[in-house]
Amino acid sequence: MLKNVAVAGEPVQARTDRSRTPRRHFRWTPYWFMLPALIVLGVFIVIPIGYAFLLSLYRYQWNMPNLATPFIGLKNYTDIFSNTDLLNSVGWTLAFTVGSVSIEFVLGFSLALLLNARLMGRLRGLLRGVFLIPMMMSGAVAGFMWRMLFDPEYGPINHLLSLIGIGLIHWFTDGTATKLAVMTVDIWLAMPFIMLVLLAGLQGIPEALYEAGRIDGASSAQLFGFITVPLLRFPIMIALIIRSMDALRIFDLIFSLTKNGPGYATSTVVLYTYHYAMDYFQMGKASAISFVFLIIIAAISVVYMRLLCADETA
Amino acid sequence: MPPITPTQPRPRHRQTTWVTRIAFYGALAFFLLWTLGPIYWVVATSFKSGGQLFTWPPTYIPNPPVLSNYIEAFLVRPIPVYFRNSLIVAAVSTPLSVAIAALAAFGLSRYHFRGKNGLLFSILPDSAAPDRHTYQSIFDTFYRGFFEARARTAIVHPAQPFEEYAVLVVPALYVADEALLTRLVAYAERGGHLLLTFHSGYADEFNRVRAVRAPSLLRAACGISYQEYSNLAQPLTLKAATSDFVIPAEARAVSWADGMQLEGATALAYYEHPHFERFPAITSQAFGKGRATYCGTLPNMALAQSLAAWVMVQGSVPPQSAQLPASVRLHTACAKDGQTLAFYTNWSWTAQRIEAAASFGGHDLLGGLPVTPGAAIELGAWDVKIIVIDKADKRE
Repeated sequence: MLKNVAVAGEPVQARTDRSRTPRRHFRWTPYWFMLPALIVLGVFIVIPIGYAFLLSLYRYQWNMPNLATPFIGLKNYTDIFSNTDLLNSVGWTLAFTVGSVSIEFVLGFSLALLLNARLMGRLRGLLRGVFLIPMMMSGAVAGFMWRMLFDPEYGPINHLLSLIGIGLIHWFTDGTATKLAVMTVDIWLAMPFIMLVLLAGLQGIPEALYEAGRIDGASSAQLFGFITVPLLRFPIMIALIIRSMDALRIFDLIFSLTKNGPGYATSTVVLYTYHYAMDYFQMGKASAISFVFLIIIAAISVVYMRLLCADETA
Repeated sequence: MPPITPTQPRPRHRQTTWVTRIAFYGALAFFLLWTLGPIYWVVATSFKSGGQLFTWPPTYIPNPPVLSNYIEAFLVRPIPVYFRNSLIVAAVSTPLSVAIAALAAFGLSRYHFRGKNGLLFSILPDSAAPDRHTYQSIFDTFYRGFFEARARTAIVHPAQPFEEYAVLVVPALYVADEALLTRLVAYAERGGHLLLTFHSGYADEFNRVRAVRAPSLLRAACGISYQEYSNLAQPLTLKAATSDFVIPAEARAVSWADGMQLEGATALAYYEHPHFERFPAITSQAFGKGRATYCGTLPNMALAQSLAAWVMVQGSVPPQSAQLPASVRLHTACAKDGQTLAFYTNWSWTAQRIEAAASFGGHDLLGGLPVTPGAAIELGAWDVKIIVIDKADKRE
């Protein structure tokens, strides 16, 4: 009789010798699967970024091919900090992001709660579709659309405001008014997204929790604060993260609505970069700005990812 | 006492006051106006003639509505061409990106390889994909532990008879029917040493969690039970609870801890952790003529090897002859025709030269050459030699 040690379990079929080696040996197969994606990434992302970095080290006036393109080291980068227009646009980008995302969030959350309310009944499916309409529109189209609405002389917004006694507002020539207009359109465009994410989260909260809360005598505010908000933490974070990343990178909406104006009042960092590259033809400087912006965005993304991952494992 | 009827009144919703209703419909109207107002303006404008565009007050309802803008867009301006271009872009780029992304996703989710996390991060944020190697990692840990402890091992399927082995290791048997669990208990009771791992038999054959205190049918044999369990954020060190169980310095408990409570079993090791220290990591109990050992955590390699060595001592399983090189194993098996086969396997890249066991005389099954006891056997890298043992020489 053989006295053996047995390892029971599912039959392990076709184990190759390699899988029992102390050290794993190098395998090419997974890299082959990855190859097409890597080529696409390389050609459309890595190479342009690398090329942009190279450009950022030169003075490059690309509408004048006969002009020399001298290597100027990091001068394009150091120039960034003395460029007040650019620093202003950084400030506006941040103000725009914080302002419109927070208002979007409050409105979107309210709308989600409204749609989730018991009173909504069978209308919910229909209305959810209706409220999603702006989400289907591209930023550029929405910009053109709202330009008609905000038209100071012929637009309905100024007309409606005049009915309640507010005089002519110069939506595209007054700096503050223009900023408000831009934020209004962004709120209109992005609120449905927040509503959608939060409504999905709300519908996932079991009704039993609220019933238990009511039996314990909780007020509506307590139900909201101790059940709804904590259980929505993950959707809320997702919505805020995606929206603020989008807002930081906003381009098409402002480009079609105000095109920076008046002056640089509504120029975000991305628009300013575009302006430098396409209106001043200073590709080196534009590359430096976009490279710095890329690093900032990447850093923020990493922080967000960490936050999200930490939240998932918590 | 009145009988409890199945049709109890439903919990009554609180009355909705008219104030609530007004607020509700007011808010709804606001949001509808806010969302649809601008859309209405675009649609209305599309039916306005040129003169109606620039009026004060603005024209809210086109009067008369005209179709000239649509005619202009679709017949005069190349809008259909733009639509066609959009369609072409969508039709080409969608399948292409799906194909490329599917390949990459398959590679990322199915394989572990160097640089994977970096690649994953550059292609997409980490998905919450399940670890497809969970079973292998548990199985391999125990298999390798016994391999390093120089055990002679066989892999048996539950359908095969395992009753005659001295030690039976059951890794990751989460799903098991009652018959198999009963058989495992009977195995220990009749004198075998049963080694179970965390969450053994936790669910039935339909993957339904058993509605009794874990480890359900194995509870009496193991002498433990648990109601709590946790994953381990960090590998934990352990301290030995008996003198004969050796815990090497590198030993760690990783990933998982069943919060075991002793019900007659002896703890072999405890976690070193402010919270988990109250739970034993590994327990053992003499049961019937045999013994049941329960490992409530996933050991790392050092701990698995140490546990394997301890289990082999308890089960009176001698390690393989120290004359065999570390990478060579000898197994014997009985063929269908009654012949006894000896397998020498070299699990390494280094060629090995060994002596045939003194008890074996026979011939090389594949090479055909006779092998005398004590003769030299050459094993190449990853080589196997199968020796048919002559009937007359069969001992043991």
